[in-house]
Parts: sequence; C-alpha cells; structure tokens
Amino acid sequence: MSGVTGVRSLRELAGPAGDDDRAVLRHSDGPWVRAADGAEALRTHLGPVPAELAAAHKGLTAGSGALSALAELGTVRASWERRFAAAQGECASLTGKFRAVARTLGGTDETVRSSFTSVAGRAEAR
Amino acid sequence: MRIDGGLTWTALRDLECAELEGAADGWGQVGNRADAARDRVGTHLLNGLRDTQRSEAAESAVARLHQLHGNFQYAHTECGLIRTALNSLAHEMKAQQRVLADALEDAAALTFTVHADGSVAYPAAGEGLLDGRPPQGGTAASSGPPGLVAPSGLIAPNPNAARAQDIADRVAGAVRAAAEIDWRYAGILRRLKAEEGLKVPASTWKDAAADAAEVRDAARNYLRDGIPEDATPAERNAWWAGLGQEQREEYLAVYPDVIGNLDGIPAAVRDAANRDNLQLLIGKLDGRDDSRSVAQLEGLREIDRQLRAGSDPPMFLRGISDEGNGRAIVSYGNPDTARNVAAYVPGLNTSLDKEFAEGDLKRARDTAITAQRYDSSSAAIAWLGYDAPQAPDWFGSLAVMGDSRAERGGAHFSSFMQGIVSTNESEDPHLTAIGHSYGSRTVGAAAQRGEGIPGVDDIVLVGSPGVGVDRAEDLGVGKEHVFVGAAENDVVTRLPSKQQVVLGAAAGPVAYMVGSLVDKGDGDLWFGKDPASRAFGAQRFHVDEGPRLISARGLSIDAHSRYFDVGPERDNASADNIALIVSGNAHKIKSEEAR
Repeated sequence: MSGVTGVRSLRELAGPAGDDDRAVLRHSDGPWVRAADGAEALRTHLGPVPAELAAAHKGLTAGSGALSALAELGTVRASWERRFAAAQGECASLTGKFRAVARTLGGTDETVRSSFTSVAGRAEAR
Repeated sequence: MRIDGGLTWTALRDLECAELEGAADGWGQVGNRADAARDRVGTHLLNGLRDTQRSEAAESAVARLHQLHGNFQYAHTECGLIRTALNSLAHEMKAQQRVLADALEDAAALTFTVHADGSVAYPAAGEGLLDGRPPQGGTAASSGPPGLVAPSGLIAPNPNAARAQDIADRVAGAVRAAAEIDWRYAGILRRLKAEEGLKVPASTWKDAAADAAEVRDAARNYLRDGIPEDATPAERNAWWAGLGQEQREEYLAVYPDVIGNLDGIPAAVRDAANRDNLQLLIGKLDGRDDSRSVAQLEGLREIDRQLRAGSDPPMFLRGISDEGNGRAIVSYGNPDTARNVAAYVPGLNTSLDKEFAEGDLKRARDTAITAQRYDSSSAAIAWLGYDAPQAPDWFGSLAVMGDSRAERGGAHFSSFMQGIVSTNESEDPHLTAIGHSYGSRTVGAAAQRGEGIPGVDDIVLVGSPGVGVDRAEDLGVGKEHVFVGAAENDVVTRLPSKQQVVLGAAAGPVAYMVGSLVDKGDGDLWFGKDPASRAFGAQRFHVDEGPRLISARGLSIDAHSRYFDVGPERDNASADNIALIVSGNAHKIKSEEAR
C-alpha cells in the first residue's frame, strides 16, 4: 500500500477533528497506520462473503428437501458465515488497536501490550 | 441402515446438478477470498510490523495477526474441499440421472407408464396360450437390489412384463444409488463445518487432513483425469499448464501433498500447496509420542517458524512430507526465476528434525546469500528428498548399508533436477549440484544415471568419502566442471577403502576414526577414488584445513561440517568458493593442489 493511500484513508477515517487529526497525521506513513489501514481494507475485502455464498446457493434452497446433503450444506454455510464474521470482527478490533498504538506511540509500550492481550483473551473466550 | 431417505425418481430427475456446481463455484470464490486475505495478512500486515517494530506492542499484534493468518489458511483449505465435494456430488448424481433418463426413455418408447412409486405399468401384448388373445397388461415393481430375489421360474407370457420389470429395476437402482450418494456426501459435508471462533489448533489441522482424505476418496471418479504421477517432470509440467484455473484449484485443495511434492509443477504452486501440507503434517504428528514423530514435528515446527518470520532471500517450500525419515526441500530464492540454481544434498545421519531445519537450511540460505553477491539472480536449495543412511557410529555402519540409499536417492534427485529444468523460466539456467558427505555419493549416483543429472552444469563435492566413480569425467559434466572441497583435517575425506577396512578386520570404526586406519595413501576411499586426488581429475578448491581430529580439546570431526560456514564468525574460503561456482563464476575460485 502506498503512503499516499494511507494518508487519504486516514483522513477519511479520522474525520475533521482539528488537533487530533494533525496528531495522527504526523504518523501517517508509519507502520501502525499502514497496519490499521490494512486491517480495515481486509475487513472490507471479507464483506462480500455472505452475499457471494447467498448468490451461489440461490437455486438450491428451493429443492433442498430432496437431498439430505443439501440440508447439511445449509448448516455448513451458516458455520462458515459465522467464522468469516468473526474474522471481520477481529479486523475491526485490530484496526482500532493499531490506530490507538499509532496515536499513543509516545505512551508506554506496556499499556499497549496489555490492551492487546485483554482483547486476545476475550476472543479466546468466545 | 436406511439410505433411501424418501428420495423419489421424480426428485432425482428434477435435481438441478448445475445448481450444485454453481454452489461449488461460490465456495471456490470464497476460498480464494480467504486465500487472498491470508496473503494480505502475511504480506501487508505481518511483514510491515515484524520488520519495523521491535516492541511488546508489535509482538502482541503479530501474535493476533498470526492467528488470523492461520484462520484464513484453514478457511481456504476447507472451502476448497467443500467446493470439490459439491462438484463431485453433482458428478455422481448426474451419472444416476443418466441411468434414470435412459430407463424413462425406454418406458416412453414402449408407451409404459412409470408411476410415482417407481412401478411400471405395461399394456397387453403377445399371444395368448389358449385363446390367442394377447395377455393382459399389468404393473411391474422393482424386486429390490439385484440378486436378492431368485427367479420364480414362472415366465409371464406377456413380453412387456419382462421389459417393464427391467425398467422398474433400473429406475429403482438409480434412486437407490442416488440415495446412497446423498447419504455419503451428507456425512462428508457435516464434517466440513467451520469450528467456532478464529483459532486453528493442531487438532483442527488434524481434522482437516482427515477431511481432505475423505473428499479425495469420494472425488476419485470426479477428478478422474488423474495426476500423471508416472509421467516425466516435463510431461507433468505440460499437464499442469493445460489445466484450467478451477481445475488447478481443485487439485490443490484435494491433493496438496501430491501436487506439493511433484517434480515439474511450478515452484510457487508447490510452495502454496506445501504451506498447507506443513500445517496438515503438524496436525497429524502433534500428540504422537514415538521418537521419529517427535523429531519430525520439531523439524516441521522450526520450518514453520522460519516461514512465519520471513526470509531474504524468500523461502519456497518445494517439498515436505513425513515419508520415511522425512522429506523437506526448501529453496532460498525462487528456483523458477533465478538464472543460477544450486541444490545441496545433505549426507549421513540427516533426517527431518530440528537440526536439519536449523543447520542444513542455513547452509542453503548462506549459499544463496553469498552467491547473490556475485549474481543476484541466484537461488539455493536444501534437498532432503531421500532417506539418508542413519548410522549412529557414522561410517562404521556403512559397511552393511552399502550404496542402496544413494542409488535410490540419486533417482529422486535426478527427477527433481529435471523438474527444475522444466519449470525454470531462464533461457539457459545454470544449475549446480552440491553433495556433502554421503550426499556427494548420492549426487554421484544421480550423475551415473542416463545422460547425467538433468540440466546440471557444475558439480560440487565437499567432505566426500568417494562418489562411486573413479574419474571426474564420469560424472557427466566434464571434469573441468567437477569441483571438490576437502579439508585437510576432515577425516571423512580420508576414510579407508572397504578393502582396507576388511584387512584391518576387527579394528572397527573407532580405530579409523582416531586415525589408525586412515587412507593408506593410495587414494582409494570408501566409495571409490578420493575426489580430491590427482587421479580423480577434478578441480580442487581451497578449503580451510579445519580443526584437527585429535587435539588438546579431545576428539573433533568439526572439519567435516565447516564447508558452508560463513561470517561473521569466520571468513571461509570454502563457502566463498562454493558461491562463486554456484553463481557461474567458477573461474574466480581459489584453487588448491590435488592430493
């Protein structure tokens, strides 16, 4: 991803909040901001999955009574939609965390680490 | 077991297999999306943070990204299997639809009526036995699976009855087969459900390996244009080139272990397949407690760690398997795009374990790095594609092992190099075979097959106990292209010939290890003429003499294992000379007098 793209999307995401905006932009070419943009783009990349699966299974749902394999396919599909949704959720969470690190680069590393760890713990409990 | 599940012939007839195939395409699409996501996490996110950030925050972030990376790899694998399962289901159902359609056509041609329950009504026909009037029509129902009902011996006089019976049996047979197919695929699909959450523990990969085996088993008919495993690497390369993108993806999903280890398949494809294989193998071996599995698992985990950490030159996994003592073929630099490609064959006591994953891979990596200083278009491969002899007392056990491992390994190595020739994109690639220790004997065995090692221009032999021929010119590349490194203090390059050992009788391996039986000076080593001897006729390059076998610090055979060592700890003439040869600059090597 180019630095230019990083700055533009950051502006869009950061909104017009005067001082804060400038503070973030100071790190706009930094790896954390690029990571945040990357995670955000990844979330978007996964967005079409449910629609793609829905379109692919469109004709099948009507006659699904005939085959038990198709009934299984329905639950398989639901399970993968949940898994992709979980991945999207993780992308969103990482985006937020990466932006937070970018903003608090001056802060202590330890604070940032514990913030990641707590989220990882929650993800595990899920 | 109830398998009919209430499936009727009308439902089978009306089943839209094209829709099943459409659903399969959707899973392929989503699987590719997962693969692209995996790539993004690896390329854009992990690399960016790993390379530039050294902090606890970065480490935590990297751990979560690794989890996400594994999640997408798992999703890609499983979605690929769902796709092939659905395509295969459609394929098998279509076959039964054809059986049904044929039966229905026959019924229509005879003006029979096939009822909803599969029974077949037929009209009066034939000649009556008594009054000449045609026997009445009737209804034939399937008598069940063939062979279950013995013929009654009473033959109905209406010729339509037998025809109707045949049609009813065919209709019922198609429905019964379709129900069995449905039942089978329902089971397969049930096991392809995603596990909840994002984690992919080893146990999940173990399940994924079982899933792949099951889909492969079921899809045997569907993917009937089998992988040409018996063909030459060039033919396999042509086969792969002729496949459509979707077919390639399906083969990769269902047969990653075969495609990943098939010579003639492009390096990038093998790498992708083998990264999946690596996870599947780790899942398979995880939890086993036999020493071989434990050792292989450690080796696989170390390779996985290096792949995750990233490498420059980039790593390409060209082969991975738990066959025999384990297989691992790792390239540093892309062997399909590099002009200079070297393959290093390790020797005695090498097997897939942590030591190999650390030490032998480093030899290839260092060779690639140094060669790239002379020509940036260079790649080097660590090739553990055979079962090297395992001899705890080193060459002492070789007397009983003989040359068989080298001969078999040589055949595999030839096939591997032929694969490089067929996939390398350079007009005239410069290929080098490097054999260390017993690996030099394996290279020697490969060189004696047919017209020599395919595509190989230069041969490097280091720490060699002999290569199976007495003259460099018998290695198929011309003696001026055979290069030998033999450290003065490397005892393996001074092993006595077998005859001498026999003469030395009970003295045993320990005796010659400490020097009492060291080569008597006739240049005959264990596997033939000393490659460093004048009589052999190769180009000997300069190698540091290495530590003495016996010194104040005790017994040391370190001189045997320093040929590839590079800085910063040592400025090594040997490694530099090897890199010069590999990069096509053999004329610049520092020579040494033959023995």
